[in-house]
Order: sequence, then C-alpha cells, then structure tokens
Amino acid sequence: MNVHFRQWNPAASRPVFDLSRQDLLLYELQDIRLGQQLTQGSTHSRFRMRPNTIRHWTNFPEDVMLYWSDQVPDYDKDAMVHSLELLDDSFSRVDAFVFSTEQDIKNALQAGPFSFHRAATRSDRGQPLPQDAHSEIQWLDSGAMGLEGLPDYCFKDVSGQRVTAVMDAKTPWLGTPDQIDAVLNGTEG
Amino acid sequence: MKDATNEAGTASQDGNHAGRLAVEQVYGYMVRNHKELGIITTFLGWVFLRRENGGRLFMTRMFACANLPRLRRIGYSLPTFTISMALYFFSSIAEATPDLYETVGNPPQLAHFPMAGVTTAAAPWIQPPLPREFHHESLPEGYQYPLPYPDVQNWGAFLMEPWGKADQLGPKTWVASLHAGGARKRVVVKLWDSWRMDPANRDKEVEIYKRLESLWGVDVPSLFAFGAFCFSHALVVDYIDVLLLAYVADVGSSLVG
Repeated sequence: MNVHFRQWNPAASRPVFDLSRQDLLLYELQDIRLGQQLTQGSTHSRFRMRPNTIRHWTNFPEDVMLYWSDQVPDYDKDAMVHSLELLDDSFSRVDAFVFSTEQDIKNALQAGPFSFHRAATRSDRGQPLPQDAHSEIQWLDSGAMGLEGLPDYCFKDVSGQRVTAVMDAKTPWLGTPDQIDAVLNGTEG
Repeated sequence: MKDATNEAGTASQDGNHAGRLAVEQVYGYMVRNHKELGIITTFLGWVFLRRENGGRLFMTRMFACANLPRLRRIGYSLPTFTISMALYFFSSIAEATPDLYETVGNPPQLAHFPMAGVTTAAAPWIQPPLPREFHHESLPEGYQYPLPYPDVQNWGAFLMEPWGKADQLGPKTWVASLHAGGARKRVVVKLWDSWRMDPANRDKEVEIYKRLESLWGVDVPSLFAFGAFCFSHALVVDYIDVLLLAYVADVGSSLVG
C-alpha cells in the first residue's frame, strides 16, 4: 500500500491578510431570501419590562461616524485583519441560506457580521488588535454568563468575565421597521 | 424623522405586537442585568438601544443591513454607516460602559423587577423594592424544601438540596435556588440549629445586612429573607461568585506565608 505523507510547509500555512480593517468594516451586509413557510410566534419572555419613557436615539449615526473619523487611528484602519477569500466565503454561506426560522437568522449572523466583528476586534489568526478595547459577541445558546433571562447574545469584555451589553435576534417577518417605529411613536396599540 | 418621545402608557400596550414585545424583552434583559446597552437584530434590520436610570430607554429606528432601495421601500432606515462599523463602535463603547443599576425613590433604592406574564399583555413597570419578610410553610415530604420567596408572585419555588457536596459552603451554609418557570436564581442559605441556639446570631447578621442595604447587589449580597425554617433560624441572601477574590486572597496569603 502506498502511503503519501505530506510535509509541513510554514509558508503555505501562513494566514493570508489582504483586507484591512477599514475595508472589512466598510462592506455592507447582503439582502436575504425568505422561505415559503415562515415560523410564527410571539415573545412571551417573563423577563420583559416596560420602560417609563422611550426616546429616539437620534444621534447614533453621528456617534458612529465621529468615532470612526476621530477616535479610530489610521494605523487601526489600515491594519490587515482579514482575507478576501474568507469574506467571500462568509457572503457565499449567507447567500446559500433560505431564511424560514429564527435559527436561520442566528446562523447567518454568525457566518456574516459576527465573524467580521471578531476578525476586526480579536487576534485569532494573529492579526493586529485595535488600540482601543472592544467587547466580543458571544452566542448564549446554552445560557451562560450568569444573566437573568436568556438573551441570544451578549457582549463580554476583554477579560471575558463581565457582560457589557445584550442582544437578541428576531425574525424579519415579525420584527419589522413599522413595528419598531410604532413603539418609538407610541402607536403600537 | 423628528425626535420622538413616547411616554409609555399613553397608548394601548396590550395585544400581540411583535415590535413592542421585542423591545420589552431586550429592555428587560438590560435593566435586570444592569446593562446600559442592547441590540435587536433581524439580520435585515438593526435597532440599537441605550437606557438611563429612571426607566428611560433610547432606541434607534430599524436600520437596514444595506443601502438598498428595496429595503427603504418597506420602511427600513438606510444608514449612513455600515452595520459592521456600528458593531465596531458599539463594542468599543460597551467595553467602556460600567453597569448601570436601576434605582427608585430618594434616597435611591435598588428597584424591584416583577416578572411578566406568559402572555402578550404589557410588561410590568419598574417597582420600588418590596418590604422583605420571611414566610414559613410546612415542609413537604422528602428532601426538597420548597418555601415561598418574599416576592411571592415572582418565584414559584425554593429548592435546597443540602446533601449535595457542591452546594455546601460551610457547616451551616448552603447554595439553594429560587425558581419561576424556566428562570432560576442562586441564593445562599444560612441556618442555625434552633434546638441548640437562640436567634441572636442570626438577628445580628440581619441587622448588619440591613445597615448595608444601600450596597445590596453592588458590594454585598442582597438580603432576601430571614426567619424560622423548620427547626432552624434562617437567613437567605443573594449568591455572589467570589472565586476571583478567593484566588487573590489565597495568592496574597501564600506570598505573606
């Protein structure tokens, strides 16, 4: 029997970085395809609470752009953190989904924007870290981090010990922009 | 869109409104876990939320995942940034944002958060802390000791399994848990044998906890209940993981030693 051994080639195994942090983050996400049979179901979480007042966070877009222009140094923007090949792979995987369930949404989030965020904020493949600290997104499918309730995701700090924000995924056929506008305007009744 | 202020409660809050239910759910996670920041995402749409003490919630409209005319036509707000940039910004401010505790009254006291019903009815408002008192109930058979939590309507059962070594914290202290539906909260139970001891030691600890009430949930555990439990004088406090402190103390003592 012939056995073909392979030799380790350090040059071949070296990760390729041909996409800067700025280039990576400037990619828009893609549109998605919905299935024919969409799951229906309302949130009945017992952890729901009602705010006393709801106001429009109007300056969020300006905050994002000011942060990007004034606080992110060129060094961080230009640092090579990802590869076009991996980016193409992520977009292709999301493109292959037909969205019919909340789980489909979560899978696409992991394959797309959350993997981009991780590439930009962590050093899994040896890419340079940004100068400011960023919390990382963690899927809480099994309920961890000692939180009350079960959000789908949390942001946890660089020490990995503290949750810094929470995030929940909904389906786009139930969580629509009209519904959110109604909440903002107090006309959801 | 102009600034919108919705004094919640001016509009009907009942009914199966997926948007309201989603906002209530994420706001509930934020306020109960003392987090200032949150996100609702459908992949196609992204809503960013920030809360302030006093039950105040700030939220964006639903931004589209991409600058596509199709998404604008169906109501999405087209962003002047990419979602990846927004997440990068968000994770930076999240890292720098400390926990934010919800308080009520003057002097401020930590708020109480009743559980919502398993319905589509409006979620409860933030409440002042409930007066704390201990309720004693006759024990059922077996080794599981259910007793009502002071916030009785919120927690259905109290489970203590004193035979489990993992739950034993000392000669008279155990980890137990409060249960409500799928929710579970860990607590610490301290018991004094009432056949051999009067309640003075327990009462002294209760007085100390009461004096530290402004720090409950911040620097010291919250006192949940005290009273008689079967043949014991009992004290129930919040469970706080102090592994790190124990490690530091251990390292410190080994350096000194």
